[in-house]
Amino acid sequence: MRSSLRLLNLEAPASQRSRNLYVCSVCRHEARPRPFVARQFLRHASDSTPITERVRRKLWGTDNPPGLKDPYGGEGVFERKFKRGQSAPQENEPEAATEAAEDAVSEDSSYEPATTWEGLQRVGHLGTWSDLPPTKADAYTSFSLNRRLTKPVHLSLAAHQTAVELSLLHTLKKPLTNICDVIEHEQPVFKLIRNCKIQPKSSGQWDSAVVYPDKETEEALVYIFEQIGGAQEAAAEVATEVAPETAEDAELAEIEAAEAEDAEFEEEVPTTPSPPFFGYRDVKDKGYLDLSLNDPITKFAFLKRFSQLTGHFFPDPVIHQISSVQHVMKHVLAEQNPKPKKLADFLVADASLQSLPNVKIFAKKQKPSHKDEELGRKKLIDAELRERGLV
Amino acid sequence: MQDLLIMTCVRFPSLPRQTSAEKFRDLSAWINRLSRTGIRTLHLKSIQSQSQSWFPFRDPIYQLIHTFTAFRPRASSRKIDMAAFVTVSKRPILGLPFLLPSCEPATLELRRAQSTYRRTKQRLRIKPDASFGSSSDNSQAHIIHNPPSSAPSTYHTPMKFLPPNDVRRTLRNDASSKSQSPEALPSVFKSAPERKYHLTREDVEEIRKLRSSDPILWSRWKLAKHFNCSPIFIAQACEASPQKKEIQRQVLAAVQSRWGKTRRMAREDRQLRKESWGRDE
Amino acid sequence: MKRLQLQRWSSSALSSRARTGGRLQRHLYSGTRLQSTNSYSLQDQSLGQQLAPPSATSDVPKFTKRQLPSPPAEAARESAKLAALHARLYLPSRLPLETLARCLVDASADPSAQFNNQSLAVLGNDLLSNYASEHLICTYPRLPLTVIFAAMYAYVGPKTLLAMSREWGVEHAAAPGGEVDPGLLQYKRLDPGAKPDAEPLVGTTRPNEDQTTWRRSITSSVVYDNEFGDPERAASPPAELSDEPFLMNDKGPAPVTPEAASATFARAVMGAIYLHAGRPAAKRFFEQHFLSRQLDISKMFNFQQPARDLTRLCARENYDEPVAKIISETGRRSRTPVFVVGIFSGVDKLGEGTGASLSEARARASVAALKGWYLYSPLEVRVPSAMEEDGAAPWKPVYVDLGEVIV
Repeated sequence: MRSSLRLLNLEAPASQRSRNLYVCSVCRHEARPRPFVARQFLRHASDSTPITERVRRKLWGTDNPPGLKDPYGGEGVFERKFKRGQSAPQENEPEAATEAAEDAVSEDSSYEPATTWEGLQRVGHLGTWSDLPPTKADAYTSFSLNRRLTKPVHLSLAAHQTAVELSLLHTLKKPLTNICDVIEHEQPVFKLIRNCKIQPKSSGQWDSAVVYPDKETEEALVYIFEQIGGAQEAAAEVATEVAPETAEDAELAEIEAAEAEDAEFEEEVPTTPSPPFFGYRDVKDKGYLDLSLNDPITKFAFLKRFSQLTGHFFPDPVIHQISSVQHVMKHVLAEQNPKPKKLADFLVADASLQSLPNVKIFAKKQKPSHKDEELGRKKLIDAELRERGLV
Repeated sequence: MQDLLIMTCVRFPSLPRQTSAEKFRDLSAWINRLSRTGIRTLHLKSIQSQSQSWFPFRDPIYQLIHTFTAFRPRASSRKIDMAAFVTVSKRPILGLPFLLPSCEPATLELRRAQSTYRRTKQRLRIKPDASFGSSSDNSQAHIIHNPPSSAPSTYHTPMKFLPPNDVRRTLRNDASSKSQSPEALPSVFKSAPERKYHLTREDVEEIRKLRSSDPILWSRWKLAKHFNCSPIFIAQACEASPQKKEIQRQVLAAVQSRWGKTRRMAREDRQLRKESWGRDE
Repeated sequence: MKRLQLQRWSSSALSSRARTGGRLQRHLYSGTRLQSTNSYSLQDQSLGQQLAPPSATSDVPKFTKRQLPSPPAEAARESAKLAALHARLYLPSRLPLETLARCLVDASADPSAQFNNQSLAVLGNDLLSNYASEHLICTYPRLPLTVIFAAMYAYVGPKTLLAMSREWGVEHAAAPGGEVDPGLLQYKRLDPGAKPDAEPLVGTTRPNEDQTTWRRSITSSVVYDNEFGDPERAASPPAELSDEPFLMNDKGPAPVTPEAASATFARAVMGAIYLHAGRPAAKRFFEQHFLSRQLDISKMFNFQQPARDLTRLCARENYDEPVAKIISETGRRSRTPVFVVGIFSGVDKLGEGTGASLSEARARASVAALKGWYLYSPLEVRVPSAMEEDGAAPWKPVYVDLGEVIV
């Protein structure tokens, strides 16, 4: 007989005999039914009135207390559902749910119950979802550009762009988060934005903080940003119209000449994915760093747009601490150079220790075997072990 | 601080008060500075009855400063019992009784307060020691150096051993070395060894012949008595025969074999102590 | 006086290790030799067999550090211990760490004369004994020879050098090898229980050394023995110091005591300072580390018969015969008497001693008088090496004594 079978044989009588097993007095006491609970049950079972009704009666002192028959709002949702389920168990559950929701909300007079399925709105599918044509909801456009900028140049460019956009929107009194609809500007538009400067008037105010290089840029940008929130296509179209005009400007030509190699590089290699911000160099204007982010709406808009442009997201505690653009940049740059996790890495990076000749930093913990090696004792130990055949 | 630093200052009404306090401060500062150096006893008995110097401190203190800087000992960190007394001799006060009621002793740093003026004066009345110097020049301030009694340092070369061209011969005055005249001191030995030098070459030949003829009969002592010289000279002149040496060694061994433990240990200890004299331990 | 070009001269004493590739090239050539001989000690044999034959190409063969007899020169820059020792000794910065590392390699660890400290130690020992002896003789011109030998041993003897290297914080390696930290003193240790000087020294500089019963006078040790008056092994012929470490001796280098290795190290440091930083720095190092040690020379005397010696001295110097006189006494009839006896020659007191008996006080007084004679020291002590400085004052002859008293 196999052991498992033998075990089975042994098990079966044991389970039968379990009733006779010893149970300690505490457990026995615990297991005993409570007598007063039973009495309550009995009493309530004999009564027709529920306990709430009896409490009401006691409170008012009469058998017919004033007020609603049921002051607690009637039957609950689950009770009603349960009743209906009992009455019509064959119905589809989603329909039941919608029905229940509908009759709870309102009674439409024009509602006409359908008799056939033709012409009804169709939700879901019956197995072959791949045969269905794509809908608008199926297309996925990502919120951000799916890239994470790491270079400080790009980060400051993104911050500058965000600051210009948001202060423009501030000036135009438009909702700030609308700018997030435009994930990436066209190159001429970006060049316009980049040429703008930020000079906060007083204590980091956003309103009319933008300083335009010339009138045409201002007009073009205002026109573009008026469109934002409406039709993006129009804005892009306008941008392409505006760009050649502005590019002919002498000032811009100068700047372009300064950045000729970047532009040329971009033109020569059109197939490669475009570098962030079209390979533009850093902005010289640092006025955007002084902008304040004390207004929660502005702060939210700024961080949202900045996250969209750079791929950096901010945890809640950091968002709470941020009070200016400078803080944002500091946090993002600190994220780029995280603190070394090991003490040895930290010490190796310390320049003051590197100049000390009598300080030696080990990456690993020094054990007695290292000490033996350093003293020359290890080879003796090895030789002795080898001689005795222990190694 | 173990120092007993008693300084008594007699303030006189004729002296401007501020000047007196100023001098007082001066004096205490200098006494403090002196106490940090190695001077053991400072006896300043120069505040004398010269009526022209009623400034009690000016002259002696500045003389003291000069002498001190001239003989500044090498800086040493050892603790020194120092007693600095500025004594005011009795005579001016007794001789000028109209000043007495206004005289008040002011103690700078007093180990134990004397209850009365008389007791203070009694304490300060020290009989001048012989080593304090001759009493003829007590009008000047001078420093008394009394080192504790101890053996002189071996690094201190005696003047006789100095080479003739050494500068220290002229620097050292002969007061310290001439203080003890050896003629007056008793000798270690009861009689001084007299050297006669009366033995001739023939006598020495005779000594050798006698010693070799019968070493048992002619021992060192006997020869010395016979020739009226010291046994050491006999030992220098001739040597005993090996047989005699062996006999003497056996006699000594026989004597030593009868010594007990105590005596043997005592003899050995005595020998060890004698050896330690040469090492100066 | 023009400054000598020490750096140029020192190329014979300094190894080629400081130069690039010296060690590796040497091992390229000695690699075959390494396999053919049995020079490595027991624990290194298994490693020696793993050694790949060196290729003739310019590629550097893969040598592990363990196969080297002493740490390579590159390791000196990485050793924290070595840098700390350099800073602790306040060595001049012209003395590189590599040389200090070489000073720490004893000849018993690395037999090659180009990599051990033997040459530096020979130079340093000469400097040390020169400076110490001239200091002693010029400061105490009348010292007896035995005391001079003892004082020399106390100043620059091996026991003192061992104590000094301990005070400098030099630690000792358990066994020499290439993997050892260069900041540790490396030498081949004696087996436990072995006696370092069990057999008598043979091959000394002393003639007729086989005649053990002959008297060895103290004067002859000035000529034949070393600076401490001890018999010295004759200098090894130059062939033994050649760059043939593995063919030199089949047994390998003889183990040495920690005392000998530490002494060699301290001497080598002195020699290295002299070579790298010049004579003034070496002299300063000597004054700061050796002369600054307190030594009471008056405790080094041991007179057998002081009274007789003093009499002979006074007779030699034409002084009056010394007479013992009681200066003071107390408790002559008591259990603990004290006598103060002075020794007078004429009217001059030569010495003074106290004792519990008259003879003891007289003996002690004689000892004091003899010490007063022997411990004479001129006021301005100027040693001959002071003349080596630039712009030194003209030399005035120092005091020369007749010598000790011979009875």
